[in-house]
Amino acid sequence: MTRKKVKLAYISNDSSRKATFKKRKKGLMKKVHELSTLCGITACAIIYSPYDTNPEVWPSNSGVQRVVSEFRTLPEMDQHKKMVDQEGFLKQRIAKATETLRRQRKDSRELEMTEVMFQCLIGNMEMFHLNIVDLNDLGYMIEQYLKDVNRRIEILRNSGTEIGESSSVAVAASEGNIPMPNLVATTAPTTTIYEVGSSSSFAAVANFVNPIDLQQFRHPAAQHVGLNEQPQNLNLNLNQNYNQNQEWFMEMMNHPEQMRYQTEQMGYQFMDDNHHNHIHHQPQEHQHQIHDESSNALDAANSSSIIPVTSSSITNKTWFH
Amino acid sequence: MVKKSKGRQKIEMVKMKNESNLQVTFSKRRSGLFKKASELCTLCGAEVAIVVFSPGRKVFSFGHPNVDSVIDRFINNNPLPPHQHNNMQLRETRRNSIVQDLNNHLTQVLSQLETEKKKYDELKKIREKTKALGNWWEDPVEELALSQLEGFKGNLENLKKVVTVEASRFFQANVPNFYVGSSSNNAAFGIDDGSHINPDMDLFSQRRMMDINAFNYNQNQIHPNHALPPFGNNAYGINEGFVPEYNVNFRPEYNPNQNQIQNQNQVQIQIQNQSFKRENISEYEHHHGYPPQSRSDYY
Repeated sequence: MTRKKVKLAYISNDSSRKATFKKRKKGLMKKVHELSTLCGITACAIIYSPYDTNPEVWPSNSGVQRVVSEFRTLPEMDQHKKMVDQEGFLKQRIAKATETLRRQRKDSRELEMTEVMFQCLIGNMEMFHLNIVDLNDLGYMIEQYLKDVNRRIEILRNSGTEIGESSSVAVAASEGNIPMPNLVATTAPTTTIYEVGSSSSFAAVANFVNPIDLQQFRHPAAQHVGLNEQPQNLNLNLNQNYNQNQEWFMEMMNHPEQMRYQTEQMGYQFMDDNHHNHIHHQPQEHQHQIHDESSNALDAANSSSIIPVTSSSITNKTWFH
Repeated sequence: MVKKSKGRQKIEMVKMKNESNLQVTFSKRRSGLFKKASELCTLCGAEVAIVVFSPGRKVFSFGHPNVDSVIDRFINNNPLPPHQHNNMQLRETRRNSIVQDLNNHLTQVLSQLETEKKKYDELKKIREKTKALGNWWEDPVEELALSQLEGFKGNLENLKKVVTVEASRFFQANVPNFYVGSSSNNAAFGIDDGSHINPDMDLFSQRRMMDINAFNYNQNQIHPNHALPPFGNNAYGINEGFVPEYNVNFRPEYNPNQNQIQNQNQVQIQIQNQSFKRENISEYEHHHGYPPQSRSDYY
């Protein structure tokens, strides 16, 4: 086991380089042997040293001769189809690592936005200094979650639920962190449902496209051809990812009337809340519920105090990507 | 010894019987073999050729400087490397420089990948801690009841409206008539808070102050792009290299007299950032347009 990572550069110290060459050459031969044995295949290796005019070969001189002859009898195109030099091999590895990094960043971003979304739902939106990119990603995340919730609601409605169960669950819901008045006030009007549906349709189409791209990229394509194809897939994924998030917001921006209408709805709902409170006959119980919410929010705030730092850091990276 | 996973355990050195396992093993081990060969060439300046026939009788090969030259040298029993001419020397030097840059870039990307994985694990822990609070709406959607789902849906839609309104503030210049709606935004804020008390002017001022902080925050992000020197000649490096140094930026002190000026800067910053993003994508495409076997310059 090496105690620290080896810097990938030419070793300038002569004796150190010779020792490294000797050890690594032996390891390389061992790996060719293992590959050949495990998979029952034909393979050979030729290694020329700067210090020795005779090459090291595996399995043997005659073995290499046989493999090389077989290799050379193939058509020219087949020989070069999956042939790489060090430059080409490194480029392939860079492309692969870059794609893995991009996917990892996307996963981190989604997890972060899920956390932010749930914090905002319990009234902690002010603790994150969200910029336009954060708001865009958060809106996209909310829309995805709404799509899942809507799908689940349709499934439950189609299967049919007994009235008794609904009533008991409604009581359980009111015992939760969201009091009943909010549930009544937040019932969405028909127009809003229609709007959400149209947005979900777009999201569904986007999701339909993405898996195909990922499958295409993950398919073990030809090595030589793969390097040509991978950039296109990468660019396509990047553009689509960018377009998805961007279009969610642009769709809203292109309909300022809808935004104004939604704002008016919010005001109307607020008045409706006041009206409901006026009829309510047990103000003390209501006060108690508010107190519970505050306690819960405080607990959540304490446990999530680390989020702003993490969010800022990730935002910085996302900003440049 | 029976283990649940196949990590870190010895295997029999005999031909595998399972066909699909054999194919996967070949793919992984061939890749690792080529990686080791590449490292040997880089570290010790060796010349290498490896030829491998896959279980499907396709041929994979790796070589440095290239497969054909090493095979030719072997077949002809030529002890001297063909580097005697000046042209060959120059080409070798340039190739080494390119390979060195590629190695540096690869090391950098792998390092960032390591950092990103650690970040993901940290986020996972935060999520676990939040779930432990026992909020029912954070359970998987499949486990919620119908009435819970409908209430949850309403809250999500409300939150989406708030996010949309907040985002529109960043584009006030594009939709100036929407600024009038800010008072309604307070109403929405009240609803999401769960309290039914009308927010007073102090609360409104606080929100405006937070928005100003957001502007300052954005303003910090844009300056390093122009202030930092180029990160080598590598197109990737320019993008990747900015990230680590970004965190040392400071936030300028808040000055209420500069409120309007910062609002204008905000719009310009957005435009610059968008164009910068497009440039990044363009650079990315341009680089990958090179054919893999080309001898042209990497830059």
